[in-house]
Amino acid sequence: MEKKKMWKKTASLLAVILCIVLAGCRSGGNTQSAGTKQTDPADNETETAETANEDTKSTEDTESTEDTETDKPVIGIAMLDMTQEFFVNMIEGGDYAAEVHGVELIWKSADSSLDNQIAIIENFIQQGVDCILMDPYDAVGLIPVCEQAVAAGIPVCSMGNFIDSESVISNLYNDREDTKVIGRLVGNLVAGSGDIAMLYGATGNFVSDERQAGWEEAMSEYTDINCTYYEVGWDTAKTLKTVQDILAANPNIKAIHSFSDGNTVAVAQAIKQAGLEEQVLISSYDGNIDASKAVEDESYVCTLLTGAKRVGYWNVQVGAQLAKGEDTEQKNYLESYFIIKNDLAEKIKELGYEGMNIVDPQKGIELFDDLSVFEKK
Amino acid sequence: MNGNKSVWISSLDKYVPVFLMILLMAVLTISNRNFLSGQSIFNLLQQVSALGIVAFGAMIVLLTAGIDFTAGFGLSLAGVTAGYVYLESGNNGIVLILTALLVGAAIGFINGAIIVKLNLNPFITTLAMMSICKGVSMLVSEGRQVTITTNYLLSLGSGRILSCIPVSFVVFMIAVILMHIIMNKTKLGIYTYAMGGNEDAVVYSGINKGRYKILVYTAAGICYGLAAVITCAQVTVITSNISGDYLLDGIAAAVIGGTGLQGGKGTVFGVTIGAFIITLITTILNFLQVPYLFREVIKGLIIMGILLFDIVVSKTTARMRVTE
Repeated sequence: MEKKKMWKKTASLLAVILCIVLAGCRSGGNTQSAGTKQTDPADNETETAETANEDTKSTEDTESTEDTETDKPVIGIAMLDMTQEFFVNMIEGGDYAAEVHGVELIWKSADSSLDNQIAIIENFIQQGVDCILMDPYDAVGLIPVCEQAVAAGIPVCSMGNFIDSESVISNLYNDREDTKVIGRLVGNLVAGSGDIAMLYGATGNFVSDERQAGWEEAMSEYTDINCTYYEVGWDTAKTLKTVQDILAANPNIKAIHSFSDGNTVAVAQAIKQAGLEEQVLISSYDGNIDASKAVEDESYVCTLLTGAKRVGYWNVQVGAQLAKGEDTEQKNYLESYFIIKNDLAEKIKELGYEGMNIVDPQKGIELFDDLSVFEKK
Repeated sequence: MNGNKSVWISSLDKYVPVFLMILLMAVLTISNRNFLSGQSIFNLLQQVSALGIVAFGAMIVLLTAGIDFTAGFGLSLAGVTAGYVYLESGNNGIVLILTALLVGAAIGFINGAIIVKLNLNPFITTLAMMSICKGVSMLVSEGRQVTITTNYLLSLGSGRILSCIPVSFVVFMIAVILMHIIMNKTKLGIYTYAMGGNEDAVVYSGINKGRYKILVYTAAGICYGLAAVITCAQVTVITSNISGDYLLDGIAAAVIGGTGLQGGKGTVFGVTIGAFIITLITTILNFLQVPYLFREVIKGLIIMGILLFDIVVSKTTARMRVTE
């Protein structure tokens, strides 16, 4: 009996330790090693990419060993999150860029935590990586650790967020201005009046905030438009419910803008269920292949291609330059493309945006996976 | 006369959630008459379906004085695993449904087995399992979305019967009937209540408490799997980002519906009404366009208010029974 009790206690203790270790591994961040196989872009939507999601420690050790052995510069990438389709595609693009530019990558996720992100960057400093890329959770909170990295001789580059420090390079996306253009287009299409809704991700998330700010700037030009804002995160189920309620509460609503293609699927579904496809315009952002197809079949008015793979490729390309000791501009901007049908493309030009990159949906689909454009520059 | 009063007093407790549900609907109607439109009612019935099933899962665990935190990410994991198999099987909807139910059951079974065999606290066990489910669902899905193309699945998500009743609500109603039968007519249900009421008595009665506890958590997991199928069918994509507020809303629905956190108390009818109440609260916040920063606070205050109201009514009825 005593022996049985002892075994039970031992087993319980081991189980608790296992749970704590597992929880610790999760909070420490997910690591994905570089050098993953580049999948055929045409199969992107249905094929499971062979990205390696390995345990943090063993991958770090592997990366350090490989670095020594191959003398390839190592770039540490502190991601905000790695759970969205956008980030998965971004990692694919980044890994491909690493192969092209001869660098090794260490991807780590901060799980939307500033503390985690600071710890990750500190680890990179200790590891002596050749460059640090980060998708900042907080533009101000990360400045001290960034300056610490630069003081240690490691260049730091922020992805998608301006860090107000001379030590940090900022790779930026034109989210605010591009969303403003979409907003003005939609405002124009609804003849400057009526009810509109805008769905955003989360207050405090830089990308979401920038896109919301751009939309608000556009809406401020239309005094007869009543625009309401709803936070939906990146949750499609929540988006569906929110839009169902929006449509029920405002049966005369004229347009809904969704800040991210991943959520727009639910928007379209809610509108279809309500039988309001002819009445409600849908605009979106990110330029996913499904969204481009929706623009093609006129379910959406437009979307804006930043392109997750392009984002990943471009950021790692800049990071590779920095890792090899080359100089770059303090601020770099990623080229974006409006994906819109030709008849509406004219409208954008009428609004005074002559020089913008405007492409039709088919071209948008090609560009989503076409990373060669970065090598032509 | 006294007999009628007794009946009235004992019924009061049971019908407080119904009264609250009617009150919320009245508030919604007054604030925006569009709430009474056909589409709005359709939305409400559709939205309550998945949440109600999750709440049943929460209820049966709470009845044993346990807790289950795996609702949200367990639902996610069931969904994305089913999605992966769905693709591999050439978009076979039956395979998707069965996989989701099996994965949900497996998660619940593992929870139950760890809690029973290792005598671990359900709080810690299911909290750890929640984290595991989150990680594994990310690994399986790799952040990708799978589009559902199978017609009967799409019908499950957005189809209508008699042009106004969502198909998913019909599924929910079937689940209500099944749950009622299970909880009131089967050993599982009776022993579940007994375990929550007095676990020692159950043991002394010679009932295999461990086996039934594992069954309870497995049943909860099956609920999450079914909710995953309905949710994915409604949004027409399978993605890891569907966990939403199911965890807290499911527990809140069960508790508001009268399920006691100490175990042994709760009804299928009460939880059904609780699911409606939670859905109505969110609908009110959307209809009134309450800024997001205030939403969670207001939602929490409303839920707290409902629970306090319930406590006041319970104490009042208890006093009235004593003075009779």
